[in-house]
Amino acid sequence: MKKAFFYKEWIKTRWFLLAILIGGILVEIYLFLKLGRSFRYAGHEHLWDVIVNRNQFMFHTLKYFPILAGLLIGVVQMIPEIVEKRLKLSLHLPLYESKSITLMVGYILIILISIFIISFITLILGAAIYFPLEIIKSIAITVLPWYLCGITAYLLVVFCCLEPLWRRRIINILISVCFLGTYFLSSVPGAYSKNILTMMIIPAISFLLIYLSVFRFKTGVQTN
Amino acid sequence: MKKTLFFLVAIALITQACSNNKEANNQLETNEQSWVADSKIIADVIESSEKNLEKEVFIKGMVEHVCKHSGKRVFILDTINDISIRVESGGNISGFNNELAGMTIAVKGVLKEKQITKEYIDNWESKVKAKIEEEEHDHDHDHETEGHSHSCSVEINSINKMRKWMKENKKDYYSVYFILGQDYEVL
Amino acid sequence: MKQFKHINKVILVIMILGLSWLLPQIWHLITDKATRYPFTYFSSVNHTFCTLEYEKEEFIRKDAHGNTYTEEQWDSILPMFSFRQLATDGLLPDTLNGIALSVKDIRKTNYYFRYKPNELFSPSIPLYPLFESMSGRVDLEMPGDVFRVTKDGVEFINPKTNKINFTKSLKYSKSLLDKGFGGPAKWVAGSPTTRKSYDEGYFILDQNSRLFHFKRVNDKPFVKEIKIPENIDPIFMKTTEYGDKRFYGFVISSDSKLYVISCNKYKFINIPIRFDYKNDNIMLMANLFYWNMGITTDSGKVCYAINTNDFSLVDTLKYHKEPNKMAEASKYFLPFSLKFKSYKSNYIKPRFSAVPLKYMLVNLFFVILLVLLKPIRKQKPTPLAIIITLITGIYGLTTTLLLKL
Repeated sequence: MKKAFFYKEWIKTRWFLLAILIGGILVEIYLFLKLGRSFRYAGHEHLWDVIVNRNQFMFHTLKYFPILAGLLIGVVQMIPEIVEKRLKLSLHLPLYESKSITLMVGYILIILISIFIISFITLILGAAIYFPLEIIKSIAITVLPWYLCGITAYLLVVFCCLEPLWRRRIINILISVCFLGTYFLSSVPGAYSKNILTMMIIPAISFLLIYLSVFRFKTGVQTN
Repeated sequence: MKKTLFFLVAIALITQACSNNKEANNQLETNEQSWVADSKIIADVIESSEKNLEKEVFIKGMVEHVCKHSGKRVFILDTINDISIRVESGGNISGFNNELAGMTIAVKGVLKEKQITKEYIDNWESKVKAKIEEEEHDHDHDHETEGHSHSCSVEINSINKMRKWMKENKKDYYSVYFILGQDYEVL
Repeated sequence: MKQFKHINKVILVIMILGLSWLLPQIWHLITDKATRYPFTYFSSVNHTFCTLEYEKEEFIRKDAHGNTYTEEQWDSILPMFSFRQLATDGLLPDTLNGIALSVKDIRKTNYYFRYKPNELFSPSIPLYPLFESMSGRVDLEMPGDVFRVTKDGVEFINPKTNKINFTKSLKYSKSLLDKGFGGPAKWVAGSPTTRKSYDEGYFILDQNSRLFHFKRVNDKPFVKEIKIPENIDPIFMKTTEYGDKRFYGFVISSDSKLYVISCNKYKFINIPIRFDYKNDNIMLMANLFYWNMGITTDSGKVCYAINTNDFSLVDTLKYHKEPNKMAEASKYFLPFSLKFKSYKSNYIKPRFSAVPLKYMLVNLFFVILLVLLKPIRKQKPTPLAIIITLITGIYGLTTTLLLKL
């Protein structure tokens, strides 16, 4: 049964996951080409100076890749389930609903996290060629909330899509916007270094919220 | 087999890097110590000043005063013999920072002599005497006048010392020695 | 699966927290008003505070005794501030308070200093350029490398190669270690810019709270330990390279005292002001005779006039912040707030603040409102809804209505 679940999700999402992976690679290539040009124009010493002393961040373009990836894959996975009412079928299989949804979400989540890890490691390894450990740490702590935001975005899309009532769905969307907004409160590099735990709690809560939507979907709530 | 070989190569490279560091450290220490260790106290250098004139000398002493305005000269003191000498910046020394005051430094430089001629001393003496006469005619004994009197007497004393030295050494000039610094190290 | 219905309560908490974040923000967006204090400067002529305010579309210039001045008179009583205007008009006095004045001397001794708490509470990258402080050139030049402080001293890294210069690192580390430096550093203070007239290097507080002056002189390391007086625990230092070369910078201690480190044997001199380094801003306008220090707090502003020569307190002037009626009103219906940003810190983290309990009595009003809305809602409020509204006020009421508890 598990294999069937994975296969179903794979068929639905494989091209989009590939697109996200390629998109991530292209963004990284672009970032490093841009960095190379900055080095040629400004010089290594000057670029280090603006990074260290003027809070310039060289990888801003990466900011929206994780959230767009999370939103895209969430929509691609969930919209057919809801519009074509396939989810009802999935939840009526001889499997606990919680397990069904965990498999569905877990599969995409693992792939998405894997893509983000690859992107993160590539960025760090590439940056390590040009920058010392202190700047690498700053880069890592600055981009980490963006990747967490991507994971949260996916989970919140699922949370919103699975909610059966539109009235409540709107509230869920507002909650999601608030949650995602917390990842973009500051463009100062390293601003989230004292708040990484909270940033990690948000995706965990988002994951739990999915089960509420599934419960409501399963019990067929008509009001509230 | 390949893994073992890789491991051994890695160990060899690390060892080489460490020994390079140690070599760099030793080289560093050797370069610094070579002339610093040869530095003498000021009295010894002044004693053999005629022999050392226009030659490279190595001296050490406590920085008594740093010229605040330009930082281009310091006065270093031989604390044992209470002799000080001026060191001018030159060579690798662009200037001296104020914080050197109170620190002991070793200086590598060329011993130079500035000869203050008899005519210059005579001219200087007459100017000081004129100043003293002017103050004696001035009835207003305020602090400024007293200060001037004190500085005039110090100058007269210096002039008298110079004349005494010239007489003892049978010279018609007074020698002021200074060092044109090439390099220094804080001890 | 039924156990997941309890996750509904998580939504409840999230919504309350979300509203406590959003509603105060919206309220401040609508009602915030700038607090303006009069420009205040201590006159070196009549030795009293002088203020400049903009009221009813005109500038009012007066002193602490209530005397008002025209613009020209104002320039004359504040020669240290208006020296350029006076010099242009040929009215700059030759001497003042027994000291000869020239535009050059005034410029050299006029400087500004600012401190905001977010300078201390801000992420930073601990890499520093060590300039040659005795290059013999007028302008400072970038050194071609940066250094980091480690437990073994310092390491210099070349940006072009991203590699450590071991020889230079060993040389400079040795100088530090010979003076007793114990790394890594607790903090490093310096001015990493070439836009200054000279360089005094860095001040490094090591692991054992020993302070070292570290700079590059004639391409050699210069290290000197600075003795910190026993009662001072320095937590922050901001170096200054002013024209008069009287001191190295300002030091803030853990008990919110401000000191300067004098260039004369590194003496710590206390500046007689009261401030809280976590909350207050400092603005200094210094001149040949007086330091004008303005400390802006949450409740107002205190201006200090301090003698430039001996740092003795001459006079103070206090301004109380005009109560913002809207902000006061918000205490009644916004019982607590959640913020992630603060102007006192560049770190993003949750900051929770609540109004005093007496204001929360207004929550009773929201409970009554909830009950009164029963006919419209067509459902009786549950005990949970009542308790939540009683505790959280408008946030609980809104959540209850939206979630139909």
